Amino acid sequence: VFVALILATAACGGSSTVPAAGEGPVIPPPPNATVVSAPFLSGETRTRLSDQLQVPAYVDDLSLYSTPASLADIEAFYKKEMASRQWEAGPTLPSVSADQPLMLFFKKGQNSAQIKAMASPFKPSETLVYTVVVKVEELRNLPFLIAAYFIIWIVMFGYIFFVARRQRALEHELEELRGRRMG
Amino acid sequence: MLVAIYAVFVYVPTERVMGIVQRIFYFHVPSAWVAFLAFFVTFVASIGYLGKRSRRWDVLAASSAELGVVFAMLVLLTGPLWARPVWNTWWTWDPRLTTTLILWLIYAGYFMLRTAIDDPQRRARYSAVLGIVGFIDVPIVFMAIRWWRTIHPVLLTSEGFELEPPMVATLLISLLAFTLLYAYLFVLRVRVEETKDRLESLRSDFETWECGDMETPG
Repeated sequence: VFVALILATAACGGSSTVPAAGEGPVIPPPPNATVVSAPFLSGETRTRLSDQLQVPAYVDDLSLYSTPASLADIEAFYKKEMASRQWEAGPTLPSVSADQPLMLFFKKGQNSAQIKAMASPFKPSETLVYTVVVKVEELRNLPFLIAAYFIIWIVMFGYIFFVARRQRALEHELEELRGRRMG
Repeated sequence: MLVAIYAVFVYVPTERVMGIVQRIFYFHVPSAWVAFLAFFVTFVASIGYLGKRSRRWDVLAASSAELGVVFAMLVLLTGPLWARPVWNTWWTWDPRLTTTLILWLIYAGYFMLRTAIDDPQRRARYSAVLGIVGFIDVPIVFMAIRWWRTIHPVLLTSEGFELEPPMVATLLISLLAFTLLYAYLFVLRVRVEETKDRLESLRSDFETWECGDMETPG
């Protein structure tokens, strides 16, 4: 029933339209940026920086830049640039500490974009900007959802079953003892 | 619970970035809430036991702790299933995850302690102390994402829930459903202990009666 529900949810509410290669939207680099090679952001190798930037595992297009521009300039630049490219703006989370990046969210069709910026831990005068595009595929990671709900219900029903069985066994024993006493 | 299932799978929109896997959240967070609630009940009942030395308080504490362990286990199992696609790892020694695992281990230890001690009063006394001391970890788990640098999402801030209104509504429905489920399971579990006590009492009466019968001449 739950698998059917999950599949129905994905079928009704979701879409798996993914732009063909080369047709995907492009996020412009920040002003005066240089591209940073970022092997530490990919695969299983996660570093403190990738954790700080909160890089999800399933991104489709990812770029990392270094720029002398300030966080405020970067925020203003992307708000203007993305609007001119018909991206709908989502929430903006300000950078509240050195560990917390500035986060900007945008949506366009079936794509969502995240832009995160924080002071570079390597060169404090620079700002690291990471841009990412995620193509919405609602069925992506479906097995994880099925597994989670399967485990929840197995554990719940299993627990109820064992408690009820324990109760029945005790009641049976109680009745038997009462019967022996009466007899 | 049916309303919660409807809300999770039909009503709430799919999260923009994480997609369908984000729906794990609606049962993961309530499981954590119920685990906290269960350990709080254990904490209160343990204080009650040390104050009154009544078996009733010990039953309440142990029953609730058992449920807390079950729900904390659900948190520890569903969390990695969300983390794998989102963080690209099943487990990381993040403060929130680590303190949650410690919480589970503390209360798993609570049951090992109960199994290891035969004398009912000593068992109840020792486990009451552990039930109180172990609860210290609950606020630490809750505050871990605020006190330390962590990659775990912060859901509740001073400005309220950082979620869209339909997501907040679904979460609240799930929280209510899980709280009711906890109440139902708690009653079920306490009833088992009560039946066990009745059986013990009857068995003891029966043994006394049998011994008396044997001693009766002719």
